[in-house]
Amino acid sequence: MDAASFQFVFFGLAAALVSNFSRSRHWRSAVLLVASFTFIGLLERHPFTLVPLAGFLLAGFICLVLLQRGLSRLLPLFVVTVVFGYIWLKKYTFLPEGIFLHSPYFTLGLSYIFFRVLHVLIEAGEGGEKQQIGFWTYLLYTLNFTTFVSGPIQRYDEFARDQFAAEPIALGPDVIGLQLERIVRGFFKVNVLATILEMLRQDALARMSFDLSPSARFFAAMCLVVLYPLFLYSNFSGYIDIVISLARLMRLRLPENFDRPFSATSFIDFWNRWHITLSNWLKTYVFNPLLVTLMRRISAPPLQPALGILSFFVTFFLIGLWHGRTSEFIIFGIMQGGGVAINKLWQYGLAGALDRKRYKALIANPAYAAFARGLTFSWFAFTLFWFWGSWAEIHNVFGALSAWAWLELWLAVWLCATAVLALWEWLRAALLSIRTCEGPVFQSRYARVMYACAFGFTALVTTILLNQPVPDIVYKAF
Amino acid sequence: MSRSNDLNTAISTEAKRWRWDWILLPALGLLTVCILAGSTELVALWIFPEKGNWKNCVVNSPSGPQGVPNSVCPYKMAEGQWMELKFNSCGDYTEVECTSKPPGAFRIVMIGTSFAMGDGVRREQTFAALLPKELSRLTGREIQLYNESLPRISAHDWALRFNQVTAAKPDMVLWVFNYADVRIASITEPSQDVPDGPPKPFPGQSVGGQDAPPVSSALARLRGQVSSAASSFVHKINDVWRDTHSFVLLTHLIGVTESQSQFLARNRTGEAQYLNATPSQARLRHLKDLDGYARDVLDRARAAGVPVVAVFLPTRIQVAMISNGKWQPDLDPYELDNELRTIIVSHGGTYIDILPDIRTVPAPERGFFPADGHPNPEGHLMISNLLARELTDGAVSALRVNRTQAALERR
Repeated sequence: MDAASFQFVFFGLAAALVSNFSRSRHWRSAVLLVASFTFIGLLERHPFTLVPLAGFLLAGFICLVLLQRGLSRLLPLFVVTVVFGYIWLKKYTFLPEGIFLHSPYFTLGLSYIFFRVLHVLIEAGEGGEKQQIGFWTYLLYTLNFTTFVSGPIQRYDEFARDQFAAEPIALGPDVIGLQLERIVRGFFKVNVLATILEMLRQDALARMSFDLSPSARFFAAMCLVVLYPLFLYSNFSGYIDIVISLARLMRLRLPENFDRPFSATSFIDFWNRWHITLSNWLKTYVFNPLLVTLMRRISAPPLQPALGILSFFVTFFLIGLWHGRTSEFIIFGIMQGGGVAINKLWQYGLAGALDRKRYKALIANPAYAAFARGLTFSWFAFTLFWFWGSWAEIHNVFGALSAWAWLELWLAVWLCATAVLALWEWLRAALLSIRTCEGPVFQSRYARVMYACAFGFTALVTTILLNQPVPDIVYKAF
Repeated sequence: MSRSNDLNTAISTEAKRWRWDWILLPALGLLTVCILAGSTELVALWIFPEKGNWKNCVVNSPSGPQGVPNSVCPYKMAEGQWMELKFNSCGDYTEVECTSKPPGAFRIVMIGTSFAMGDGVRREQTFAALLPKELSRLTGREIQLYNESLPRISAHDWALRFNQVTAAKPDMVLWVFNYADVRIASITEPSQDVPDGPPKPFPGQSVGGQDAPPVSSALARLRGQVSSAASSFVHKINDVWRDTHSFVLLTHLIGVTESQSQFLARNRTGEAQYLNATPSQARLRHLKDLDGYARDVLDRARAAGVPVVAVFLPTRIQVAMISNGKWQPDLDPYELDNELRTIIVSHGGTYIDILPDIRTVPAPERGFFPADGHPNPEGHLMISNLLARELTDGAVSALRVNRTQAALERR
């Protein structure tokens, strides 16, 4: 149930069906709450192991009530308490081992609950959220089963707008058709595409340890670098496709989490398209306050670009750090923060060296965009070594090739990614330019039915053939 | 007024189109699935054609499958190469003619099934062809290998037809096993493997051996019939699916890249249960039957004065596990090998073990067809080398080679 399985899809469809028995917001909320509790109950059969999670939620709610009663000066204390509670429950390795709970407990979805709790606390403390949030509403928002396992991280106002609307959003046959097509597409991405990409990556990883010729080892390393970002995208965005569609069938619009990230022409643009809700959350609650605070304290105009770069670094370092509890993720965070900071520095440098017109012309140049896209992909792909690997694995992989060979490999990945992604962009634009009066042919409902049937059929055959447990969603671990 | 009419016409056209969509969209979906399935099958047929039929060269006899003397059948297994199945005047698939052996030659008669026969590989590339050359080179004497192996000959069949083996005047019998030979040892056993677990009640019978209450017995019987029909339907669909070339293509693609755990999950009711560290009830039954037939074969060989050397050939997943040196705690790639050794040695046979040497072979899993599972030419070469090493290492005194001296001579 915590993966993109048939059971999860059928559970979500059943919940959506029951939810639509009445248009009343009370009925829909009751169904969502019962479905969310049932979902957690199906994930964890031992109620005792849910106690720490319940405690975390309760502590968050008490803080919220106090803030709603006007104790907004206590907001920093509450934020620190919730952050510490989260770090403690997630057992971050920089905390002493002795302070952790030693009996096993349930932490699935904790990261996403943490973001939602912190969001309502900050909004309540700063007066951004005018509505009073009651206990059941709080539970409904934080435990919503569609966003429980891996997000997306929805803002409370967006949630309340759809969930508590007197007149729920429309759900006609065209919307249902689109959502079903998206569920099939998501299922295909997770269960076929991601599974095959992961198998190929595992094979490449195994080949790295064989006694192969240098060229064969170089090719294996290239597969290892290129396949993981594609796998991660298929795995995560496929699951997100499913939950967004299930929520929409329950008349709830979840925010999009991906926007063709490999089309990004810069690393900053990439993070605007990859795990969008996480980036937005950190931009709202880390980047903006940090930049404003720094600019208030250091008012010298020549230093202001540096303050922006520093704020970018800190924000994206935290994004990297959030992904894991071990020291590998510190490097991953530094590489994300470093990538964004260097990207910003480059933008400042270019803007300073060129006049505005020439700068815009350069950015719009297709060759520049293609190379920038390739560089963005290759940088992200290389940073992911610290995302999936332990230090021992990273050491083994890097030890398989010389430093010079790794440099050559990066160049090869950059150039290949440039060519392949440029071809993909061109092909996509060409296909979408075939239009009728209703829009692009390849986005018509007829084309969508054909995709859905092809994906559904392939997914069915492959899952039956593989005859194995549904692959895990990588982001549920965070 | 005119604008209102236009609007009504537009709404009516849209409504008609939506009505058409209820027919058009499912039809499009069906067409897509048919085109996809058809094109996959065509691509699979083009990449992995299966041609010819070896069944014209083999007939059933009371002692199992038997080759038709002097028959020739060109045949290509889906993943394999074109083979010319050429049977000699005695109906054996071997390079050696059915005549008395040349003076001074050491003749090995090999018995086994499809692994030993070399299914999917040209005869000159099978270990049956490579092994005598390697042994001749190592020992310096003429070694002949007379292969009597054919697919699906069980241990029971070898016990029945052992006079055919001795008729070839062997100096030694090499009995080659693989996991499938253990599985077909109980010839009365149904072909479907039963996974480990508590025994399932027959349809209509309650768990724990208690009879169902009379009131619900009709319902239980009906439920049993429905369940049995559904199970039979699923099996039929599965059989049809497994007969397609698309199955070979997809299994081949998956087999090339899948991890050990993925393979085991995919084959948990088949090959994987022969890797369990603790044998299942079905495996114990097969081994018990095999034990009886092995005793018969070894008694007859002893009476004929022919030594029998047995060897177990591993499967693709086994060699991958041994090569990696890692496997799940409930599995053991050596267990079946050890069980066979116990059986053969207890009846006075000689057992050679090639499994530990697999650790010295780089990426040994490449030596097998990913979907079919039989050894490919690379695998036959590997098996030939491993067998030659074990046979000349002292297990058979007539083939013993002094390694130090041989190494010095090579220098």
